[in-house]
Amino acid sequence: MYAEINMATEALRAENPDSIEALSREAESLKARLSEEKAKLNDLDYCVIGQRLESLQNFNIKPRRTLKGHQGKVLCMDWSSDKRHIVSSSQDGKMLIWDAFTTNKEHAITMPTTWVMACSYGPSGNVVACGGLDNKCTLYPLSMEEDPATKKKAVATHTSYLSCCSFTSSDHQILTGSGDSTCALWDVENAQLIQSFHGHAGDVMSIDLSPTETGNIFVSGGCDKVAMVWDMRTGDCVQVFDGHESDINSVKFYPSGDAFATGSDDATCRLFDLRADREVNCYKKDSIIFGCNAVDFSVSGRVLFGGYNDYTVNVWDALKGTRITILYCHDNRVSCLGVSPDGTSLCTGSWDYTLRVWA
Amino acid sequence: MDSKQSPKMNKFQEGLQQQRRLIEQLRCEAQITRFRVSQCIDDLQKYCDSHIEEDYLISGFSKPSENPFKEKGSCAIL
Repeated sequence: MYAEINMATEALRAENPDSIEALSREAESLKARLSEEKAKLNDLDYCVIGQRLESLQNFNIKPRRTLKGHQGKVLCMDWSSDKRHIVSSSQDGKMLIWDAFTTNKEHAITMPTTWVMACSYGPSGNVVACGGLDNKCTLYPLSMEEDPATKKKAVATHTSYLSCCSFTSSDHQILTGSGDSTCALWDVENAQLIQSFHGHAGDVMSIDLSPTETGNIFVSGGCDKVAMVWDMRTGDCVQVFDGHESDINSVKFYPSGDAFATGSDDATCRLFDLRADREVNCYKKDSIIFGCNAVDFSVSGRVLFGGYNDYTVNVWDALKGTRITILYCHDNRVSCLGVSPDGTSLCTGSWDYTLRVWA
Repeated sequence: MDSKQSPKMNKFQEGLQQQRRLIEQLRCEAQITRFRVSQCIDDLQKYCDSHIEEDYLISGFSKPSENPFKEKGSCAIL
């Protein structure tokens, strides 16, 4: 019986070299070769490198401001390029624009949806974008004279919720990620799709654009546990990074653009290097059992901040892989965080309805 | 064969297409030039070392007054 089946499949393969079986075999052998190649270059354990480095001394940041005003869980935040203003969005359907120095709210925008999971400042500082369960990304030009809602403009539409959005180097293009498992690049002026990015096998949760000027790449992470690096011009996925054991909630480039960090529901953060094409560090502890929702680097890349479901922010030495300290002060999950563009401060947002600024 | 394909055939074609895409992706990845992990980490560290001075969250401010989020004293200098 076995021989018969074997003969039959052999015959089928001869007839149709493109059979699914033949293709699967080729895929398997390619995968094996890839992991072999990657293993060859793993010439140095990062623990060894970590031991050689001096520990960071005197790390001492304090909570400086509390931003109160949301009437629901804070889901997302972003700094303005002026290093002073912050946009935040919340489960209650509100988007607020804060002056972080004075803690004043300068704009309050009500969305036609709850769970506004994504918000982003335009590079000019004159426009913000947001979206969530409405499956849309909507732009709001900011001006002191007019209510931003009167000038709002829907730019992007997905077939599921909007999980993240980010302007490219100008106010004219915006990149979005969605629960429909795709990312997309949109022209703001005409509200038209420029490029879509297919490849994730689950909800896209986070995106980050390369900080290098010639980059033209971005990274995305999602519920399929993988992070993907994309070519913005062609729409092709150029690298895939696996290793996480659960959803990836957050991705963020190392400031040099050569690597990126991820935060995951598997309670770890990891560092993946683009040129090594593999994971090069993993930030974890037996005592940390809750998922990480958000990650960001200090401006030099030495420190990695992670916001966790156990209400804490873990501060990691990104090179040594050790924990430097823990920041306590939220009364619920830390859902989002970001280092200000000049590197002077850290903002954290939480399900406790507040945001905090640390410096 | 009938020009109208059965759903089963469609599914088969879809699977085939998916496998082809995966292989194309893997072939593309196989061509990437990879660097040694030691060299990559070395470069990350070099970047970090050359920017550590401007990393206020680590190095702090040379004067506390330079911290934009420092609470101002009750008297302002006019």
